[in-house]
Amino acid sequence: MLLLSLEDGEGNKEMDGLHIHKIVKYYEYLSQKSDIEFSNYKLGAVSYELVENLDVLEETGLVEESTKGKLALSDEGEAAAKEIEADMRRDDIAKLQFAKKQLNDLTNDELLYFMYKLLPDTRQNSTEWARLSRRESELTRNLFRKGRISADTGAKWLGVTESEFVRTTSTQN
Amino acid sequence: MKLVFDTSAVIYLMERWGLVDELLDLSERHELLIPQRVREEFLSGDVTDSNRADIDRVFTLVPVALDKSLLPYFNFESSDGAVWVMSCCNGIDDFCCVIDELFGRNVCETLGIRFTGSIGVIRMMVKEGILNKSRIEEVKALIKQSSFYHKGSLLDKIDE
Repeated sequence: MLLLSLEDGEGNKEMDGLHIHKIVKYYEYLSQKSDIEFSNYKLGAVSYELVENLDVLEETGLVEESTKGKLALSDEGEAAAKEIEADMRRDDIAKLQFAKKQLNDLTNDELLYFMYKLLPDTRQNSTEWARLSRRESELTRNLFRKGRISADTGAKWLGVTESEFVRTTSTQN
Repeated sequence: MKLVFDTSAVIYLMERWGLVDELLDLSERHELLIPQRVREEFLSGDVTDSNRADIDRVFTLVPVALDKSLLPYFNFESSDGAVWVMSCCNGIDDFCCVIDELFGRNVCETLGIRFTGSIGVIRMMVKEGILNKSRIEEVKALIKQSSFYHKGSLLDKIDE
């Protein structure tokens, strides 16, 4: 619920299901926690537990569907999220904020690719990885240009030196 | 102020845009620092003998203890020079990171670590009278010709 109360890099709070699953998984990665159970399915790591939690939040009126078909907090949900935030450690809030800002406004392909590269185990039953891996140069460079990965990471993902990665990626605006 | 430079900023300011003399001027008013990792990254690239000499003339090597709380943001690896730059500046008022890479700047922003970039350093040089008007125009032209990723509006405001 706290996740839905935070803004992404574009100032938006609402989220679709795919982004919720991936951002929670990324947050757990950053925090080195495994409080929520994930399974590796067609679109990578997804959580039935998260689905159930979101259903309950919708039934209780704390979460509602926005006009764009995404999920957002109701006014009651926002108030409840503030209480949750007050009890959380600053370090954990920073990681949650970072996870949302880094991932929430990515396209589905960029998001899936990012998570598959970060957590290779989640490719296990993927129906998307083969298709995405054929676009690895384009997707890696997009993620770098958007500031979601460093040049060091981008170079490692493409198996090139950092200077070559930067030289072949930097563009002027 | 103590400015701690990431590798990209060293490459562009010192090597690509040829601002060695200006950086030396700046170093008389502020401390220009680099962690060992940044020095290693710079020297591992395609550098001339002159560059090798310049980096030690312009910058002071600063010993840094890796701030492990930053590692999650860097995939739990310490190979990126930026994590060492941020380790140096995290939570210390008088220190400022000089980072151009958008990812690094996003991490700084999330954690409230003070930062600027290569263009910010050039603006400092302008404000402190180290760069004159004709030299500013030369530098702007060099920036436009280089592969340095920047917002055009930032370049226009360089001498404001």
